[in-house]
Amino acid sequence: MAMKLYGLPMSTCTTRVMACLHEKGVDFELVPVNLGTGEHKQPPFLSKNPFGQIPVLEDGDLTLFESRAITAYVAEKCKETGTDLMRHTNPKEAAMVKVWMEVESQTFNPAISPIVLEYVIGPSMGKKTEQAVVDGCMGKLGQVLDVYESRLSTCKYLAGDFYSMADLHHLPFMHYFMTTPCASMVKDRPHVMAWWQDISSRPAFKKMVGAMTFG
Amino acid sequence: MAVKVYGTVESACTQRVIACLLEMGVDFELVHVDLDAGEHKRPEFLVHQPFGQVPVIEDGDFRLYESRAIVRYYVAKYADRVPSLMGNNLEERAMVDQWLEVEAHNFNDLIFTLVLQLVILPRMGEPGDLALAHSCEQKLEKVLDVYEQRLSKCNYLAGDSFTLADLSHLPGIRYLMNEANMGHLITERKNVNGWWQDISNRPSWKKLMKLAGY
Repeated sequence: MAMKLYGLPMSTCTTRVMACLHEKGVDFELVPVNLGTGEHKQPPFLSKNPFGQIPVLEDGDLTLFESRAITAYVAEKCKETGTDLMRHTNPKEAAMVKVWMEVESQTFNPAISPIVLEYVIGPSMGKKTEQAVVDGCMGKLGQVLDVYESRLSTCKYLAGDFYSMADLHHLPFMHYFMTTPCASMVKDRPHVMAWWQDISSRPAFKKMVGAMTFG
Repeated sequence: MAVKVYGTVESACTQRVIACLLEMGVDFELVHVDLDAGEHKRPEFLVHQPFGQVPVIEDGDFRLYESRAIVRYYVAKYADRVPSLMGNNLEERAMVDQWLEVEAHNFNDLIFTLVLQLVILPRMGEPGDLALAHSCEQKLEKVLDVYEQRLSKCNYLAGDSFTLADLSHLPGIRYLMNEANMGHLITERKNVNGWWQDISNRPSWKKLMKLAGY
């Protein structure tokens, strides 16, 4: 039975999971959730994720939320097939993947997501862009991207010379960020730009990027 | 050879790592990093952690940072010692990961902001944003309501055993209940309070409390 992924084809966290499912060649059905009508904040959805957020994965009788826990589960379940995203046979490589997954989660995401929210997601919901919020984040993001630039000058991908879950987790927010006026922050950093061009040209990403627009 | 943990015994993220090492009986040596003097932002430190944050561990010639990556590494490395810290099978592990993510994304930001505004900024002589702190408190109430419901169904977050998901919450809740003076958020919720009493009474956490001089 195919896995069910509850979410939306343009949602950052849903597409984080979809990228992983595609890399692993896993059959799944995307079940749309109507955020506009608040479907995610009511039963029955709340019984799947009590925090009222997408995505949710259903695999048989296992229900999981939190996109980064879902990708970890899919990668572990399907570790013998598809792309080796977690480097499970090499503990030290696996550890490096986890370091940069945490960096994405704890440092990169908080710096970049307000910018994407202000320029892309907010306006799609009729909200005005708050330049002050953007300006406040750009300094921090610049510092983070400087570390990435330095890191990516020593190896091709974040965890080493191999594509991994650490790179994959960056795809959705990077994609939207590159549509904003702040994209120059990436373009001005040659190693980060080259890394972005590489990871965004992977077939697994190209399969879903067409739907990644907030209209 | 003991694992070197670079950090401070008061830092929540360093505590997360020490709590895990104590649970697993892994020998370690805490190497104090002088955060007040900005040691973590100096070039010699940035070589090991380019984001200028603690903790960093040194295990022989293997270095790692990000507390949640460190604890996952040690639980995997010594899976035979306390196997249930990450679950006993794929599905259990997924539940542990899920609640570790909840801690990181739904819980930690709120606690961190609260502590920053109510404790750390005032300590540095700067005014905290009380409105922001209040807004975090209200959001935390809603998050802890979800925890209350979850913990009415099982003893711990990921199921019926203590795991990394519970351990990861220890430092943040301790700050909430002490320096931030928001203990009522925990004590007003029967199941959350019971869970907190249980996990904070574990010998490893009590050992850490002694080490930190609390």
